[in-house]
Formats: sequence, structure tokens, C-alpha cells
Amino acid sequence: MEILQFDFMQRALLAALLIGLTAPAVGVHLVQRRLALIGDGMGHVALTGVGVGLLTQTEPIWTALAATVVGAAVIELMRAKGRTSSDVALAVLFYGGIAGGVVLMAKSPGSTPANLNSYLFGSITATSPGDVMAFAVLAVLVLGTTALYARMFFAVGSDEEYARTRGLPVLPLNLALAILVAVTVVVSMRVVGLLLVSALMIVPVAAALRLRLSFARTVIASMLIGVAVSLGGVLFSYYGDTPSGATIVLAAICVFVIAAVGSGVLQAVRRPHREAEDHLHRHGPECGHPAVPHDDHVDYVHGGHRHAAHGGHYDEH
Amino acid sequence: MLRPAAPHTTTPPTGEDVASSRPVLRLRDGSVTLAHKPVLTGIDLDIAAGEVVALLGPNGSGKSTLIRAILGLAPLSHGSLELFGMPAERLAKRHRIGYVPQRHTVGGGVPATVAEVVGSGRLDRRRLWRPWLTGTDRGMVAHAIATVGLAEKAHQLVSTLSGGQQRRTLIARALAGQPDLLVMDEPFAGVDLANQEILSATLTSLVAAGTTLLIATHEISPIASLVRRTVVLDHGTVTYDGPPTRDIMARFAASPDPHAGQGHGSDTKVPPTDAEDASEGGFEIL
Repeated sequence: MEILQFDFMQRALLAALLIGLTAPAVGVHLVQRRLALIGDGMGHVALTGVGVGLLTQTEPIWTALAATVVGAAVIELMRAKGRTSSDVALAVLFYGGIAGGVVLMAKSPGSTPANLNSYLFGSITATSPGDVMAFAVLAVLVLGTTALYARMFFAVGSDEEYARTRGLPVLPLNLALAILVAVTVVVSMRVVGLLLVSALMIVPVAAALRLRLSFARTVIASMLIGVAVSLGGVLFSYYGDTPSGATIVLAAICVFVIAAVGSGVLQAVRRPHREAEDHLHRHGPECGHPAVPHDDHVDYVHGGHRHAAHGGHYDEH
Repeated sequence: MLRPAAPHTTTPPTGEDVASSRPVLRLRDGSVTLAHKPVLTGIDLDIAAGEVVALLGPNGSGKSTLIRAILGLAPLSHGSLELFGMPAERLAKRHRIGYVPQRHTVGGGVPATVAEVVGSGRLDRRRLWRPWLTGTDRGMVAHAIATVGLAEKAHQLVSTLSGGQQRRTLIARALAGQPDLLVMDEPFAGVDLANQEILSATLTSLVAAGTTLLIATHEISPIASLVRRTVVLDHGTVTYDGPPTRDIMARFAASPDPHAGQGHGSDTKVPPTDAEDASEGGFEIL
């Protein structure tokens, strides 16, 4: 393909691939904890970090990373305290992040509105070779940690109290997840922009949820969707001359809508059936319940109604 | 039919436990204060290995708080708790206590299969630097799922199961850790009769395998055949500790469970005499 001849497109596609894999792998745990909007807030906090970087003429990736990790830790500790005021405190932190970033960037040498725009909405073609290297290292770190600790994150996310009785390190695990989200935000910053970062963590997962898979398969499906929409979005933005970040997010939303409509149609088409009451008893020639031939199968009369084997259970016929 | 019961899923009571007459659980003068209100005051409770104890009492009597205190979820404001002969906070092998919470749904915005949820019950046997489940872990998960009779639903989403089946999933999660002491909070609330009987059968096989049970309930009938000792709580203090007398049975068995028997219209629950009757007898009623 001709576009692969451009170095900047190679880097753009590589960056898109990295975040397409990483963002949903972390996002699935946020969706499980019903914290879908936390990533959004961390994107806001990251902007202050970018501002600090530009003002002090340090590489913005690393200042953004520092600001977001600190923000993530503060958010998680506030959540652990579980006070009702923490909701409002989060809002203050998030708006403070955006406002601080805008002011700091305005005061930075050589800053332009276009510069702010590229951080807010992404500017994938501006990805430097150094950026790609940094993204790759961070992405491998995030993917490795989520893969290793997926079960522990899952256990804490699905039943935090139970996890506590098991002696699992609940607070450290939650802090670790918050930091993974922070890293993902920074990795995604160039590609989709800080205002849209959260979308890539959440929307592919939302689409995968429609497939009604196991937790493990939901993770894999959302990563596949993430990669498909990231690469597809970058290619589309190249040929269609659209902003890459927003194109990727719209692609993800398209997949979500297709999955939602598709699963709805599928459910309507499937023959509805009523499952019989649960029992450990297996019907068979020896079970003592009268057998009644019914079309192509045999029903067993059980307590006045007929049970027919279906997969792992019995249906009422 | 119940599957052939577990080849000892639990560690049998060791000589050490018995010889030194160390109870599995020893609570001395335990008090819990929540939001400046005393919820439990001066509770003494000893449970020996292999005992089956029903913790009875009306709603609000402090049963759940006592369970939570034993599990370390509600801190004692006064008194001391020993588990397996050591101070509770120093018990590193948390898997020795299994816990079945009162909620019977599994939380979270992402669905999970029965096997995945039950797998959480093995994590306390994993180390932080080796967090993945081994073949042994997976074997125990499958075994625990079979013990509660959900083998064929192991790879179904928990959210598609009935309330009673979800409760059994949580019991399997507790069993997967091969606990010596199994603590259950209202295991029968909101569970229909058929599932109650499957649960009773499961508990019977656990007791046969040597597991110590502490069951908080306001309804003793489903476990009447197992329970040799009842502890009655009222307003945060122990008002009775002894065998289930006729009086106790009358107080905690006659009351129809407002949550149970969905669609079965059966308030006349006969305590099952053994596992066989429990699992077979129920189906003929249905």
C-alpha cells in the first residue's frame, strides 16, 4: 500500500495499533467497576501535565504521565474513603485539570491554539519516532500487567468485599489499575486526544458486551474491536482527510451500534423457550418418569409437565 | 441425584486442632460499634472443628455483623478473635475460611461465567508474583462447580441463571478455596424450594467431609437435619447457645420465609432427612 511508504503513516498506524490493544484491555475493568467516566477525568488532568511540560520545555509525555499518575492515585484514594463529598471533589479535580492545562499552555513559549487543539483532539501524524518508542514501552507494560493480573482485577471489580475477605490486596490492586488507566491516557493522547481518550477505553468494550461472552472473551473481543477501529479510523482519516482521533471514535461507535442492533435482532429471531425448573436429576429410560415421544425427541412427564432435554438443561414442552 | 460427594475437599480436622482443644474460632467479649451505635456487645463464641452451628435471630439482631466481624469486614471495637488458634489479623491463609455473602447476585458491569466467578475463590491461594491459576486450581474450580450441581452450566453467564443457581455459584466460589470453616450469611433467603433442597444436600456432603459450618439464618428448616447447635442473637447479644430445642425450632422454623418458594406455594417445608430424600423428594412435589 502506498501510504506505508510515508514514515509518518507507519508511525501513526503503529501508535494506533498500540492503543487499540491497550485502551480496551484497561477499559474493560473500568466498565466492570462502573467507572466508565474516570478515564475521561484523567484525560482532563493530563492536560495540566502537558501544560507543565510545554512551559518548562520538557517532553510533554513524561510530565503528562506524572500528572496523570498522581491524579489517578488521588482519585483512587478518595474513592477508597468512599465519602459522599468525593463525587464533587472529583469534579473539582477534573475541571481544575483542564483549566490549569489551558492557562499553562497559553503562557508557554511558542504555544498556539493549534497546539492545544492537537492535545485535546489528537494529532496522530505528529507522532515522533521517540513518541512511538515511548508508547511501545508503556503499552507493553500495561498489556503485560493487565494480562497477568486480569483475574485479580476481576475478583476485586466483581466483589470487592469478598476479595477483602480473601486477603487480596484490594487497595494496591485498585491503585495499580488507576495507574494503568493513567498510562493508557498518556499513550492515547497523541492518537485520539485527551478529550476522546476515554472513548477508546469504553466504546469497544460496550460493543463487545453485546456479544454476551465470558469475561475473558469480552476482553479479547474488545481488544480486537479496538485494533480494528483504530487502524480503520487512521486509514479513513488519511483518505478522507478527517481528524484521526474523532474518526476512530466514530468508527468505534459504529461498531457499537451494529453490535447492539445485531444482538437485538438475533434475540428476537431465536425461538423463545422456557427453561424447566432446576434439578440434579437426569431424565432417561431408567428414571421412572413416563417418556412421551414428541416430534423428533422424547419428553419426560415430570410433576405434571413435560421436560425435554436442551443443551445443558431441560425445557418445558 | 447428587454426584458422588467430594473426595475430601477439605483438610480433615488435624490432630493438632483437637489435641490442643483449639477451637476453629474463638471470639471473646466481642463488640462491634457501627456509626457510634453498639451493634454487638460482649459476644463469646467458640466453634470446634467439625461443628455445624446455626446462628439464629430476627432481622437486625446482629447476625450479619457478627459474620462480618469474623471475616474481618467489621472491626471489633472490643474483645478478641482467634481463628485456627491464632489472632484473626495474623491469619495469612485466608482460604481456610470460606465465605458466602448474603447477596446472591454477582456484581459488575461485565458478564462472567460460572467458572470465572468460582475461579476467584482460588485466588487467595495464589501469590502476587504468580497470580495465574494452575491446573490444580482449575481442577478444584471444576470440582466445586460439580459439587453444587452446576457442572453443565459452568460456562454459562452467571447473569442468565436463576437466583438459586447464582447462590450456588457463590457457594462453589467459597468451596473452591477448600475451606476448613465455611461461613454463610442467609444462604436460603430468596432461594426457591428446589434450590434449597439442592443446597441442603450440598451442605450435608460437606459436613460429611469434615467442614465446619457457621450459617446465619432466620429460617432453620432447610438445615434442621444438620444442625446440632444453635446460637441465638437478639439485640446484639447471645441469648441462647445450645442444641436446637423444640422451642428454638418453633421460633425459627415455623415462620414462612417471605422471599422463598417463588411459584411453589409451599410453606410446609419438611426438613430433609438426608441428601437422597432432599434431592429426589423435592422433584415429586413440583
